[in-house]
Amino acid sequence: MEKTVARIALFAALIAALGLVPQITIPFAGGVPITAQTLGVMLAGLILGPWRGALAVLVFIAVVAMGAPLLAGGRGGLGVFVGPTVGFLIGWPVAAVVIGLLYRMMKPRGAFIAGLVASVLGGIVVLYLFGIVGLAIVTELDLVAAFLAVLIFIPGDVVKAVIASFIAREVGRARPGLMET
Amino acid sequence: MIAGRVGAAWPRRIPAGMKLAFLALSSATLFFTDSLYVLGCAFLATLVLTGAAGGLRLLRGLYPIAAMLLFAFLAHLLLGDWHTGAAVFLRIAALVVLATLVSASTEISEMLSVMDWLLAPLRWLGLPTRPASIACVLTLRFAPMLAERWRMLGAAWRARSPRRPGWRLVVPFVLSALDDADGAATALLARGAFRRK
Repeated sequence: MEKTVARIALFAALIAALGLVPQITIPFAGGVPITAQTLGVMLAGLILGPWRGALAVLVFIAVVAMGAPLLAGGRGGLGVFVGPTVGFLIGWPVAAVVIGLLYRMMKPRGAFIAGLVASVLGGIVVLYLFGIVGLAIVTELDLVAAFLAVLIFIPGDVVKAVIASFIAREVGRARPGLMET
Repeated sequence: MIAGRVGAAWPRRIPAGMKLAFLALSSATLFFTDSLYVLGCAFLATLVLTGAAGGLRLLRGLYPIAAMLLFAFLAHLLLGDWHTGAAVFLRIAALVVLATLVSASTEISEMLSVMDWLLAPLRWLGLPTRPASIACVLTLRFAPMLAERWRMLGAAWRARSPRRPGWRLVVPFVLSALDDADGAATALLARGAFRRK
């Protein structure tokens, strides 16, 4: 039990630390920073599995809600929960669950491909579903306009999915027992 | 670890639970009105409150959200409905400023006790809530530790190779961090951190 708690905290901290990775900010997309933090969400789902991965994401969100400036660009506090990107934040734990479940299902057919498919479906398709609906609700734009506004982030997220599945495969090789326990 | 602090002391003396309840109430109220008059007054009120709390420099951190809201306003303008655009801008701007003010005037330790209070129903069901608090505190401790570990691996690499470190360090980094976490878990257990609450 105690190791589970520490690993959950570790991946929550990893999501935080990935926010420090130098980021590109796209001015005309409203200054939404492109960050490596979704990479952390993908890794949590892949390495910790669906439920512990989701818990890691929830712990990270809780710590952000308490005011730690851990979101990319030093953002944090309760402001992000009423802002336009709140849908992505809500989608993160769901994405971790989907990624973890799909990865477990498909892993016997090859860890890298399984990780990639799981990360793309969970970390992009499911996550953007939440993000776009959230953006549409908060800004009262229609879904198509909201979709077009976030389209620009998808190529970066595909790169993150590739990196995440590579790391997950290597960690699985080095610590075969980790993902089963 | 707080993004910014307010200058005045009085906002910090208000109990965290009260501030959070006020924020939740404001969000619920503002989402049910489209009146530009009400929303404008609310936005103005949050700015005055921020000024009174000595937190005007907090507003500088909100530029990205302001840019997004401007984008949404322009999109509505192009679609021919400036009223909705203005309402969205004022509503979200007011809430974001208010939420930022609450965060900047509340310590993380106070927020932790609010979380503990919110989790109390789980305790009545017999689920231990201590691990949730431990995980939050550990996260705050692990985040700078991970940055330090990455820096150390880079230094070790540079001491041995003329080439630049890069992706080759990623897997050792994750593995050593996992081992560190297991070590921290054993140490916490030995010191009684997981005794039931």
